[in-house]
Amino acid sequence: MRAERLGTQKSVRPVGAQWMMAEKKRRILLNVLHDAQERHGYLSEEALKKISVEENIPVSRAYAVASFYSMLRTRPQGRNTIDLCGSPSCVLNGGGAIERCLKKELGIKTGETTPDGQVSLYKTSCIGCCDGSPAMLLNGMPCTKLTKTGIRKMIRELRTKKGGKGCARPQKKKRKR
Amino acid sequence: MQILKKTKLKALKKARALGAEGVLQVLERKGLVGRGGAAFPTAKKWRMALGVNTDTRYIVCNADEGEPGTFKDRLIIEKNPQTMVEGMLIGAYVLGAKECFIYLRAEYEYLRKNLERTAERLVRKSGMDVSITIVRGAGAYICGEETAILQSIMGFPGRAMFKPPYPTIEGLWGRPTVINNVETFTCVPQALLYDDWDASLRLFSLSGNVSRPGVHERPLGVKVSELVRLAKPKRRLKAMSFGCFGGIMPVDMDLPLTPESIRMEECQHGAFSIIFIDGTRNVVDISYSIAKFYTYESCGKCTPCREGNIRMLNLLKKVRSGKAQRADLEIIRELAEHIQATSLCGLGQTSGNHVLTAMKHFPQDFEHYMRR
Ligand code: SF4
Ligand code: FES
Repeated sequence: MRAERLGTQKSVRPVGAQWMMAEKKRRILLNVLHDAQERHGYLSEEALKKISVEENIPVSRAYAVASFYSMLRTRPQGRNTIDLCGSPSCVLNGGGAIERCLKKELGIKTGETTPDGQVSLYKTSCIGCCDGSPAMLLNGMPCTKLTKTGIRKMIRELRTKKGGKGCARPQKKKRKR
Repeated sequence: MQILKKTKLKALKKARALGAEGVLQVLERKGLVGRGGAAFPTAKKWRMALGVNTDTRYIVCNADEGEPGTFKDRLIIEKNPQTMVEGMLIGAYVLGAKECFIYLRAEYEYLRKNLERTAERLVRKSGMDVSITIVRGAGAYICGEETAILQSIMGFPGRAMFKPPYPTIEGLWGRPTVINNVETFTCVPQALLYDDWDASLRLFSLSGNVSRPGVHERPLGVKVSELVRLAKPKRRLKAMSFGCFGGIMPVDMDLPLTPESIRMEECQHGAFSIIFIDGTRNVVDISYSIAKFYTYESCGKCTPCREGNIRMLNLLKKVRSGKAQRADLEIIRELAEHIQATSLCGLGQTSGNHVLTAMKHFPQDFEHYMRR
């Protein structure tokens, strides 16, 4: 918090001691958190405590950062994650129907994980694939031009692959010229 | 496309021959301005950072393009990362920076490996004593704002800060920091190296109810009709929205797209991302989905933005349900103006644009819901 307050001061002044300290022993916290999330699946209380000790920051700050960003999850998530875009371009091209289809097929609401722990469904803002809308990220990889048939097939494949990350990607819609 | 031209480290060589001052002069002469929307002259920004008496300066490449409807930076990172990194190296040379950061949004995680490799290779080849670190964003739209991006890199929640001090004077860890976006950094080497480099070319990201969405490079002042032709809409178009923040305006085929002409319609061009909306849609629905976006993405620092946008969403929901009265429209307008006037950062200040412009240009769409 101290650092935040420093940032708001109006005058230009010599670089303060706190800044110098922070600058020297720095690792990028976001990268550290991402790595931990990749290792453990999500940022648990223990993981955050450990990180706060390693990075010499209060736990509150580790948690503040982890909970601020939507792609850092502080609750367990499924083996596969789906981030569906809910922004205008995708909505205009039938994103709503895709969302309903996903919910129905998975039997969960947005933000939940299937009981078997296979799939988590999240909704997110534009993922920069508006040229292939409606679009979503499956385990971080973009899937574009989604159709209901493609979704159903993908989910069937994800369901049958127990364990490990299934990387079935829904089929693309054929482009009509 | 000009933006995809490779410069193969020749621009860096030229920059070293010209010297820091020489580079700045060329950029000034060619008229390179920031491509994020504010159009701040790049050379001027760099000079401001140079003016501070210190031995440490930082460079940040903002690859956190989160504006819905924008995907031009993805194209550049995919197809021409070398030139972007070279632009950063030129920046590092001019500013004497030893450390550069690329803030890559989490949604583009799949581009990270390649970008990392490219950066490593170019740094090695250039023989400069510079490190480029990729910071992995984590899905916060607000981190595209320059003070928020710095907070985020320094390991805080990405919340916008009061300005001044500006990042160019006091940025990362209190040091002068130059933040430019992907497109701007890519333009730097191209402007330096090519004599026929055209400063008026912009990248237009077209999407929405069209059959050929994509990124097109056209000069400022291009007619709307040309863009519509490129995008091939299936039905007659009714409105276009500049991302989420820029506002919604009618599709006027003869309008030349320049910052001024767009401002005349009370919209903002931003990064020239255009979402086309066809005649079968009601603009209120689009406004509603934009309001959802703002409710979700507000960083929560100022009350008008945090709470106001939730109220806005509820009011628009009421309109859509057909229960709204005329007085509610007045409240919506007042609320939007209030949020704009009292918010700290660009996100809040522009969050009312969509509904204000929609009410101005498409009163009949609101009427449609009123009469039910
Ligand atoms: S205007 Fe909104 S996004 Fe910007 S600082 Fe305030 S609360 Fe955060
Ligand atoms: S609006 Fe869905 S990817 Fe951009």
